[in-house]
Amino acid sequence: MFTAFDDVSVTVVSRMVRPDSSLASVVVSGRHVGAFAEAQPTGRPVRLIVDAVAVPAEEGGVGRLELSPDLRGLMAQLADSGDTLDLASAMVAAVRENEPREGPQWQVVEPPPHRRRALRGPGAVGARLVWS
Amino acid sequence: MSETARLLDDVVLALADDDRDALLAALGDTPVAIHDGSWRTLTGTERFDR
Repeated sequence: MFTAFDDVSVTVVSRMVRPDSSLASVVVSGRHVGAFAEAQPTGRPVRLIVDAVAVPAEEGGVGRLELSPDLRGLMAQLADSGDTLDLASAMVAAVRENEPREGPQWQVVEPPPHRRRALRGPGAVGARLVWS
Repeated sequence: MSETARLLDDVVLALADDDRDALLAALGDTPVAIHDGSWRTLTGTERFDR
């Protein structure tokens, strides 16, 4: 995010501290000014929701930080022109390239043609990713 | 404040400042696990150079 996004602001929308872990839901806002995954800069304002959990180590201190970013939501915003299908496919390809594996994988499910036409335009999300 | 809560606060502040060095300092050696369909754990500079 240090090169792909500009005007970055971070808002903690919820926070919970428990004996076994600490959780925070964060909204990262910014402007898409650099290549991200395989999406070229769009100049669009975007928001990324991230759930973060800090898990303690058995021996004390922090064992690891777990991040669950809503990448699909982010990519849908970057694809505001209606290129969701291509971007979703590119995202799946990038994930597979980085982590080839057997068994279940993310699959791009294209909507039927009549629905795809209706989904074109600002805010459109034309494809779904399913884990199968 | 617990160490886990302090880490989250420091990471959020570093991100808010768009400060890569502060983020590195906040995380130290802490591994980062990212969920994008399945969990995968990143360590070292791999946590940022993506």
